[in-house]
Parts: sequence; structure tokens; C-alpha cells
Amino acid sequence: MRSEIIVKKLKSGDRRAFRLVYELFYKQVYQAAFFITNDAGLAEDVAHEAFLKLMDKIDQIKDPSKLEAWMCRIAANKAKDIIRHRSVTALFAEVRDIYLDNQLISPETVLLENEKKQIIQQQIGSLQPEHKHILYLKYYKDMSVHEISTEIGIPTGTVKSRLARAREEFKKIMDPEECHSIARSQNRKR
Amino acid sequence: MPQYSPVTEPKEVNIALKRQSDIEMERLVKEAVREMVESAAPPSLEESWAKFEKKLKEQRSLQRKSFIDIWKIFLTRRFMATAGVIILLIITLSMSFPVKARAIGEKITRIVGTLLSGTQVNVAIEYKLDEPNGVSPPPEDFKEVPIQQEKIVSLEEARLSCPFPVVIPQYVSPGLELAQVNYQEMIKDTAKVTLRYNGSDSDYFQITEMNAPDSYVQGYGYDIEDAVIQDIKLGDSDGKIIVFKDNSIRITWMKHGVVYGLEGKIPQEEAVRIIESMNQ
Repeated sequence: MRSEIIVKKLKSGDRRAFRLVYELFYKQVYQAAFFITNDAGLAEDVAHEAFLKLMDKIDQIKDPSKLEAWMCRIAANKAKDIIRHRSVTALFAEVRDIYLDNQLISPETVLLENEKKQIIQQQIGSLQPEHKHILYLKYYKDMSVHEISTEIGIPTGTVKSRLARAREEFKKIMDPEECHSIARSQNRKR
Repeated sequence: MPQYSPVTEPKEVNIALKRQSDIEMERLVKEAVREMVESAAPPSLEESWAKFEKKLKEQRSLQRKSFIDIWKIFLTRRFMATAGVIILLIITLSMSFPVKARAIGEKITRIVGTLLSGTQVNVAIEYKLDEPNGVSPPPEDFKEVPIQQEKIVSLEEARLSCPFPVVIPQYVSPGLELAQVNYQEMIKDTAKVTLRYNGSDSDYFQITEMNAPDSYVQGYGYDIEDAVIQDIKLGDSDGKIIVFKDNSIRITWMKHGVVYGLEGKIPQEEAVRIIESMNQ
């Protein structure tokens, strides 16, 4: 069924169309939420919130072809809100600790590509939700800096600086010397 | 022994290597993000849908509750004290069809005060057909009907247009005189007339008269902390009088299929005297 027809049916309150939309986009919406929350329960709650919002705000959808993007945007924003309103300091601290422990793996292993990706993923996991959201849009949705700026409603300069900062962080952790210095500093603290 | 001189890389090579490294980093980050997003397996669709439906029901229930709460807030005593009387006026659909109208003798009139909650009270005036077996027919669905705008007219014009005889008080407190007459056509064969009497100071009162060809329900919400309600006998009609803390009053009664109301800032005895003069 074409997205125009689906949206038209949604606007007329067609329940079967709503179920169809749920089937079509539930996974994508959940994954967007999970990327930011890193919590299965929260991600499901966020996905439900996004679909509840769809029911309320269906009249605001002007371009039916962007329904999926709209849903994912709602989910990502909701996920950020939820994380922001929760006491997540402990969660982030915990993630960072895991990351630092992993730096003790040998420099030879770190050179392997999969290990590199794993380190990057751990680093992403420790980022604030706002930064994760930008990475999601940039690297998963392939959006330009300008598009991200419009999507989130922040200046392009802020998007660029956040991306640059994230890249710098990734580079630092990919540098074995940096890894060792982090590990040494961690050991000193202990 | 051969001498090794340090090899200095050209600047271009360094830039190329950095660019290569950046491209490699971008690729790695992109793959890492993609893997993170796509590796998140959501719970089963059916299970999730069931939970969602439950939440949807809860949300709708909350929306209904909040709608009721808004009405409760709307009826709070402070609002009542400020706004005076909130009139909930419901005229049944049957008024649109005056062919059903019967003689007044076959109808019953009830004025009931009901405690809603706390100090909130509703006074309802009901006027409907008196069914012989005591069983009322099922109510019809409400339908929105257009009504005309209220307009200022002369007393004579009001009398000529009105489908029922406009009753004028024979007695009016000294210093008060008829200042304005408003006429409003409600729906077919139904109209409302308002007679406004002003005094030289803050005293005033106004009388509203509206016919109810078939059946009629009217409710006044108020707070017993701000007002006192009493039954009142007006000739052969029963009525209710509401006296507010600021000494303003409201009296409602019905006679011959017409709903009358008097409200204003005059002493209660004066108000009763004015009403009694209307029954002459």
C-alpha cells in the first residue's frame, strides 16, 4: 500500500492501517530508540510513545513518504528526553568503566578491525544522548550536516563541532599510546 | 658501516596518509553505528502490539478522566464566586418539533438541587411530558441547532415577535426602571426575552422569559460556600432562590410552559414582590 493511502487511512481513524504502520515501522523505531537509550525496556516504551504520538499528530504529517523518518525522529527525540530526565550518570559511568577495562587488551588485538569497531561502539555507548542522536543521523541515516541541523534544530556549527569532537575521541582511543595512557591513569586511580 | 640518514617524509605524503586515515575512520564509525542499530532486536511484534494496545486504552481512559477533571475545575467555587452562575442549558431535540407539544396540564415540572461533590451543587429545572405509566421514552440524540443572535428591541417589538405573552412586572422598586429589552429567537417557535432594569446606583435586576414548547432541562452550578439556596413559593408555582455572598440573587421558576428567571442585586423581599406582581 502506498504511503499516501496509508496516511489518508490513518487520518480517517482506520485501525487496520494503524496496525499496518506498526508492523512496517516498529523495528526501525525501536532500533532508533535503542541506539540512544541502550536499554531494551526503555526502547520499547519509547517506540510505544512514538506510535501514540502518531495517533495524536497524524494531521501534522504533510509528506506521507516521510512517515518512517517522522516516526524515527519522534522516537529519537523521546529517547533523548527520557534519558535526560533519568538519573543516568551511573549508567554512563558504568559504560566508561567497561571501556577502560577493555583498553587493557593487547595493542596487537586492538589493531584488528573488529576490535576497533568494538572500541568505537563502546565509546559511542558512553556518549550523551544528544551526541548519539547526531551520530545516528550522520552515520545511519546518511544525513548531511545541514539536514541534521534542521532535523534537531541546532546550528550547523554545533553539529560540526560535535561530530569533530566525536571523531577526535575515536582517534584518541584508536591510538595505542592513548590507550596505554588511559589504562595507566586508570590503574593509578585504583 | 653504512650510515643511515633519517628519512623525512614529504608533506604531501603525510596529508595523504591523514586523509586515508580519516576515510578509514569514517568507514569504521559508519559500520560500527550500523551494527549497533541493526543488532538491536525488538521484542516480538505481537507481544509488543498487545502492550501497546493496553497503553492506548490507558491513555484514552486518562484523557476521559482529564476531561472530567477540567469540568470539575471549571465548577470550582472560586470560579463560581467570580463568574457567578454557570448555566448549563440543555434543550432536548424535541423542541425542534413543536407539533408534539401538549397542553401544560399534561406536563410535569421539577426543580431539583443535587449535591455534586464537596460543596458543589447543581440546581436543575426539568419540564417534560408526564407519561401515564411513569416510564419516559428513551432520550433522543442531541443535535446542534442554530440560534439567532440576541438583539436589542423595543418592548413593543418584543411583544409582537414573541410566540408567548411577555409578562411585565407591575411593581418595580423605586429608582429602578426598564433600561433595555433584548430579544432572541432560539429555535422554531421558541424565543427568549430579557428585560433589564437599572437603578441610579449599583442596584439592578433583569428578568428572562423563555418558552419551552415540549421538554426542557436547565442546570445552574454553584458552590454552597458562596451561596445559599432556598425553595420559594411564587403564587401557584414552585421556584428556587439562590442568594450569593455579594447579595446578588437568582430566582428561577416556571409557569404555563415559560421558564422565568430573575437575577440582580436587589433585596430578596423586593425580588419576590416584583415576581408576585408578574402573576397578577
